[in-house]
Amino acid sequence: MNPQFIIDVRSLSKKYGDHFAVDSLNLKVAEGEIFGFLGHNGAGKTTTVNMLTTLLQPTSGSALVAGFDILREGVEVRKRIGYLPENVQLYDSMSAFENLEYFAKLSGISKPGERILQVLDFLDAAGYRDKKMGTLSKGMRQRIGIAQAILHEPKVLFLDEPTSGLDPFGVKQLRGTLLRLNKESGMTIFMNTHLLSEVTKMCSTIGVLSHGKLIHADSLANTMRRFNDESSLEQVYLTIEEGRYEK
Amino acid sequence: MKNSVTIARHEIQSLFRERTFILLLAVFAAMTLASAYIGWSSQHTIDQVYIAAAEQMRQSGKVAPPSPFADYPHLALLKNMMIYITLIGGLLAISTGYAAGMRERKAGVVKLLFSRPVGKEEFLLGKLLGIAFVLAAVMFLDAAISLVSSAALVSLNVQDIIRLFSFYGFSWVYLLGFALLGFSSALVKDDEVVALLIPIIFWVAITFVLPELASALYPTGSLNPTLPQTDILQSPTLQTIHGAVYPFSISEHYKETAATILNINADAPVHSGILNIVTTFCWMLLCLAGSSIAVRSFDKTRW
Ligand SMILES: Nc1ncnc2c1ncn2[C@@H]1O[C@H](COP(=O)(O)OP(=O)(O)O)[C@@H](O)[C@H]1O
Ligand SMILES: [Mg+2]
Repeated sequence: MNPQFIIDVRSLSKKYGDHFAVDSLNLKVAEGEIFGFLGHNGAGKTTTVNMLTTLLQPTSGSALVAGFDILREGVEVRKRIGYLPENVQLYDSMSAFENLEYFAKLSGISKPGERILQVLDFLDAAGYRDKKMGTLSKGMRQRIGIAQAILHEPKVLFLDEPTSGLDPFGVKQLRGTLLRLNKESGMTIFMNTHLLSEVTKMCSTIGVLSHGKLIHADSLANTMRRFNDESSLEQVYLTIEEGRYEK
Repeated sequence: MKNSVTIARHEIQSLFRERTFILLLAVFAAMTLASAYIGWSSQHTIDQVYIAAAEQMRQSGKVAPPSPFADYPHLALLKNMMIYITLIGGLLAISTGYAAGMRERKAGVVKLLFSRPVGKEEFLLGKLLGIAFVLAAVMFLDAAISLVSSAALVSLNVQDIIRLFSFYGFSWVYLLGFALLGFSSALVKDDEVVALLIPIIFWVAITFVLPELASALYPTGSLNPTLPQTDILQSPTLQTIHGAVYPFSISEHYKETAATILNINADAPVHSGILNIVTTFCWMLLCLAGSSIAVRSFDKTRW
């Protein structure tokens, strides 16, 4: 493995029936990046993240995450990643603290109390520690979900459509949190989204997935330079997508 | 192993917060208490009849024969308990296992849980430990209730106490089967109602249908602790049905063994005691194997 790539995907495919949800994906993400994985609904983003987090067995190909093989070293991979699924949920009948304590222990922290308070503080959610999860707003749940994902100081954080269902304030807050996390601890962030605006506001690198195939991958700066400004980038994104749809 | 203990503790904590579980537990505990009283009360009535009869004989100058009920086994007053265990105990066990299997699905945390360094084997072991502990706690609570209530009504010796605890230990094995069935079903069946229905159907079959067939339509086959001691199996057809079904009639094997443990079988058991015990253990182990298959085939990205 080239050590500067914390995610190194090699010809990764997932086939459902005769349909490729992910088709020979090759992708490299350098350590410390905020990578935006952009694509229409059904493009294969969630399937990709499911495979990279070792939840789903690929049909073929492989990948290294944080230096470990997702096929043969699943446990080692999982020790080094944090994950926030789409529409994150936790045990509703337990408090935020109890939920975090449980997941922290499963992530290998044997006495997580202090760390939990520290993370809740960082996320500006300390006041919610004893609230039952079921009573929290979507935005607050999201923050507890993020707390869960970063408790064990993972090397890579996978987020699947993290802004879906959040109000504009929640989105802004989340963006701030992720940028801070990336800056302060150098955490690599891999974020799925179907919204171009999110990518341009915070990602350092972007990849565009369409019908299971990677059709573009470059740094945001290069991409912007190539397409001049955001609106023309969007135009290109849509044009490419439309071209694919017609085929 | 550490993860399994964490999962088990979480499971136990969650179960004791569930209203359905607490409700069933309360009903079960109340029936345990009632069982000792009902047993004592029927025995007491019989004793009173003897005392009254003996008194009458003495007054008319005759010598009363010793009470034929004097060496009635002490634990006979728990006779109903083995029925309650097959009935409400079975339901409690199914509900415990089902809740354990459904928990992550319902909470929507399956993907999150398996994105942690937790293996499927650790998950299985954790859930098994949790379920086994909860059922053991229920059996222990029951044993304590039975012990205190029986001791208040009759005098128990050390052997009785050992028998009483062995009875609940054996009941734990029997009930574990139902819990594991509920657990597996909750893991593999998409529809939540179907997932609950499957173990219930097994419970009905084991508790009511098989004993009826195995006892060859003996009217109280499912509720009587032991098979009829008289030979009512006259018809060859009934005898054939009995022979074919009996080995699989798990609740009868349980009840016969339980009666032997409590020392309330009047005669030697109709069938081999070894067969009874082996069948009950096989039932539990088969359900355990089912749970292992269910966890292995469990789709981590489905819910
Ligand atoms: N379990 C599954 N069985 C069959 N098809 C699936 C399954 N999961 C996803 N797919 C299909 O794979 C494709 C990619 O889905 P997904 O990765 O969820 O897309 P995205 O997250 O980009 O919206 C879609 O066409 C979807 O219908
Ligand atoms: Mg998706």
